[in-house]
Amino acid sequence: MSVRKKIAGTLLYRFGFRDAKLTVFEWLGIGFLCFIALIYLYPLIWMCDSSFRPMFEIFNVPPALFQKPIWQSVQSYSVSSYVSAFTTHNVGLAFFMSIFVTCAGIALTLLVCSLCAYGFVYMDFPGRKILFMVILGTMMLPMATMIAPAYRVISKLGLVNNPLGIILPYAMSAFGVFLLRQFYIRIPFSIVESARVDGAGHLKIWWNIILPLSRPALAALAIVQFRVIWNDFLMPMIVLRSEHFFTLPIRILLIDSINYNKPYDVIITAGFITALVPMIVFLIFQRHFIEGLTGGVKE
Amino acid sequence: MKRVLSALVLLTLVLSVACTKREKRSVTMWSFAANNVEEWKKRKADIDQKFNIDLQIELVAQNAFVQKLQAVMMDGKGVPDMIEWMIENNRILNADPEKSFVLPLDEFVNDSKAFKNVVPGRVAWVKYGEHTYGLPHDVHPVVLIYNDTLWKKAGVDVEKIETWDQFFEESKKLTAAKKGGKSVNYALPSGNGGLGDTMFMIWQQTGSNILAKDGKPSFTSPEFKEYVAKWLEWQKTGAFTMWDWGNFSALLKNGTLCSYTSPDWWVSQVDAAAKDGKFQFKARALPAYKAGGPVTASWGGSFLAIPKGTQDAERIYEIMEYMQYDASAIKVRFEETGMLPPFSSVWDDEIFKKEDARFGGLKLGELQANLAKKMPSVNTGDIFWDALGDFGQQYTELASGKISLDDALKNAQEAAEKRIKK
Amino acid sequence: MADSVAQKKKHKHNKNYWREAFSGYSLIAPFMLLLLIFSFYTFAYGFYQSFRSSQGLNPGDFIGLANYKEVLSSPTFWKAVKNTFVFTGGCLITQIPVAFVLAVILNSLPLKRVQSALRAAFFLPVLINTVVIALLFRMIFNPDQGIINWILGLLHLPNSYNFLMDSRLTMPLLIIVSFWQWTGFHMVYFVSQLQTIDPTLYESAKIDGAGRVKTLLRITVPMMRPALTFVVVTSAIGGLQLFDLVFMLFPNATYGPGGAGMTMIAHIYDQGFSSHRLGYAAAVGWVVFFIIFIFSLIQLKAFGFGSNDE
Repeated sequence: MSVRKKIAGTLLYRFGFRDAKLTVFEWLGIGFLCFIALIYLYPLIWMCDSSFRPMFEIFNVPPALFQKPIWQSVQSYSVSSYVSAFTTHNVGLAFFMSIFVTCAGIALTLLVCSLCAYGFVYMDFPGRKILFMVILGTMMLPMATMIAPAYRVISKLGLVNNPLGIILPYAMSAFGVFLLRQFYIRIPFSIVESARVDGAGHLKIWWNIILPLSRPALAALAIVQFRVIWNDFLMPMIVLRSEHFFTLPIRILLIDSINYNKPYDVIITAGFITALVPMIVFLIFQRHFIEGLTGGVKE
Repeated sequence: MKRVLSALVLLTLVLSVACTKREKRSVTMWSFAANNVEEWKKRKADIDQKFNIDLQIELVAQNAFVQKLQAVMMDGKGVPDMIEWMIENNRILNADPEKSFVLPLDEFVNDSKAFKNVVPGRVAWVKYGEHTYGLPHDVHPVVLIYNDTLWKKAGVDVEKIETWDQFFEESKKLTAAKKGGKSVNYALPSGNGGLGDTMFMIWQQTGSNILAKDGKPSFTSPEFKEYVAKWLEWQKTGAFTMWDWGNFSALLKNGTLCSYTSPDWWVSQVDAAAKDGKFQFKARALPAYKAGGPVTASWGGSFLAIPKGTQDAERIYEIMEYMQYDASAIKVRFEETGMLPPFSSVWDDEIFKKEDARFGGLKLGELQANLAKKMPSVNTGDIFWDALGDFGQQYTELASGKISLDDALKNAQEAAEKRIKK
Repeated sequence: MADSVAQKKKHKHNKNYWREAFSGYSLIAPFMLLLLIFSFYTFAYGFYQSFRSSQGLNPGDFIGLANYKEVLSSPTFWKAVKNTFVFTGGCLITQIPVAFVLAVILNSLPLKRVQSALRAAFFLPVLINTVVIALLFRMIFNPDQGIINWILGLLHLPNSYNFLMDSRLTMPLLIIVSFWQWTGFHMVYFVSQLQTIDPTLYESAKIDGAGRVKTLLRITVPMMRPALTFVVVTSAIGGLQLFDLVFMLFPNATYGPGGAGMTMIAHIYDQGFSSHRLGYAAAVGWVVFFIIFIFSLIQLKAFGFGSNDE
């Protein structure tokens, strides 16, 4: 084999293309798809690029990225907007707050929804069907409009300016119950039945059997909830009063309200950080997420 | 015996400290403007000491301000003692004190010496019906800032222009040079969404009101129609360019935008361009709409107010007035942010007569102060901002030529009138 | 599982049954408690308010069905309904077929790494905050500094068009942004469901000599019916509730030029917080809920979800 073919073969091997026997047509197809994907992701690329640029270059047209060859335009990168964001504008604190609220919210959601789904699937009680329909119905209610009464509830519970005040409502995700229920249905009942026969209590079954088996669905729910909680703005803005409790979306909008010398570069940077975290979470858990949506259980 | 005595002394001390601490009242304030909050935070120690309070400042995002205020006031607990909110589009004032979210301050401002100095044109924005509802933070007189270098290059001396009609005629020379079918230089920014930014500012000079004194809409008045017709004509000259908050200073810096009508808080947009040194910027009063008419306007601003339900409104008012209008603080405010206080009495002070390097040594503060004295008044009222929105909805159709001017005004008038019936 | 439960239901209502019922209730209790506190109370209050003439902070008087009558006869409301349905229809037509085709193509790619990379690439926009998305697209569609106009300029087409101010384009623009935001989500769901289809079906089809297109139509689509139903129904519900994007894309609560972007929820919000007519807004909210509910029922009936229940 010639040297070139050897190198090509090695490269292909390293990138997992070892067994690839692709026609030219298929290669072209993949190339085309990748091109489309890049265009599709252009806004993200723009955001990433802009976060490293001074304010004046951000809104250049044609975009600063294309004005010079890539290796030249990258040279003018600077992290000043990041520094400014974390020091002057308290983005770091908001970041941790967001992480905290999101993790707590996800944990609570998984707990409450899986318990509830278990109850609906494996137990019988009067009104089961109706209650489930009601839960599904709540997915259709326009939440954004009931701010004043929602606030009043939180206030009566004494949870104003308390992170719990925003974490607790996240746990009542009808979508979560629905998703988990669809998954539980496909778990063979024989497993549960044999456990019952052995005398196990429901909570034990839930904890030891169902929960581990439904890991993919839990992962899927976790990612969906991550997106919802991480980006939520309105209720946290109304419930939280002290600045150190503010989450990232709130912080971005506050920076946006500086009308005197609005630091647009910080806004883009903070926006990029806010968008980046769910992306990283997704990329890590991608496989589990897909499995969870599949809803299949291999015995 | 000694021990008992010392214990008693200790107890008395502790009790007295506790009592004085209880006197120190906690005053909560909500603000939407991060840069104003910086000033309040700097002065907090001073304010606390003077009034024996503990001032708590909470930042609230602009998009959620009214919702949050409404939710908290309906709940009744945790209502702030003071709020700082935007003068325009605030949606919480109403000519009927029953319907307003904040207390009418008439009794306090009538007795106040400081308030008498606030420019009437500015007070008009917080006075709905017969009641004054807030203390304006600022006066925001508008000047015309322009890139003298590029204008002169096009053969125009902006200093000599007297009316807007002249301005737009001359602007044709500025926008003549084209690249790729688009002009290289533009004369004014416009969001082109209706009575907003530049159109809003020039409108104030026309003296045509969209609400009559009794609060009824007057879109179909001949003066207003004349203005809108003129505005559309001016659009055709190609002098305007779109702008966004993010790219504004960049547009000035690279010479795309060669002039803009600027309230005092927008002047800083030209900083980076002026520092660059490529162009020489100048500032002047606005061209008049009709010769001899007003040469300034105002845009934006904030005010302090007291939400309903506050216990000791009088005390809060004192604190508010001190925060907003204390003479030494206002001077600092002007020095640091360039924002003119709404007070005619202060304007004779030296700091307003400083020369501004950005504009070739022009005494900008003096110019702004002089203009503020002649600020035109506008009829406001309950439905003012809604009516503005109604007009805005018609304007976009009008600007793209889909409906005629008469129809647009008629529709806006009808929409606004419907609001009154409600 | 369904059968055993159904059997139990009919025969025993003795102590065992009630004991199990009690356990059942206690398991769903945490969720239902949260629902009760945060959801029911809120909406019950809204329901109560919809019969009053609440204005600002005034609870107002009881006015019976007057609010509802006003809603149903309000041209603004019906325009909002029309806008919302146009938007939802546009989204369904653009997002679902594209997502499906993309999913099929991606699934048939021989290289796993490439497949997951592309999958991730298309999914990423789903995760971005609406605030940031509005920011991005405001800049992209800017007449003088936007990249779309720049590209048009390169193609020698008129290139200073103000997209966001043209009321004819408002809905298409919203559909485009929504497309960018959500197609990846549907695509990923479809890919996962495609992987559950038994490969032996495809093999036997190949043996029978079926071409690509025929396989697609005869095997893939029917097997994907439940997935398609799920996506269509949930996207419709989501689409009918569009608000964030319109609110953020058109600043100052203008909801698009000439109100072209006013959706049902935007109308509720506008009445509630700009005009402070809380009672009326609550009534609109309930009418909207009703509309969404009926529409979802119709969809479910049409797509035959009922058979999959339980």
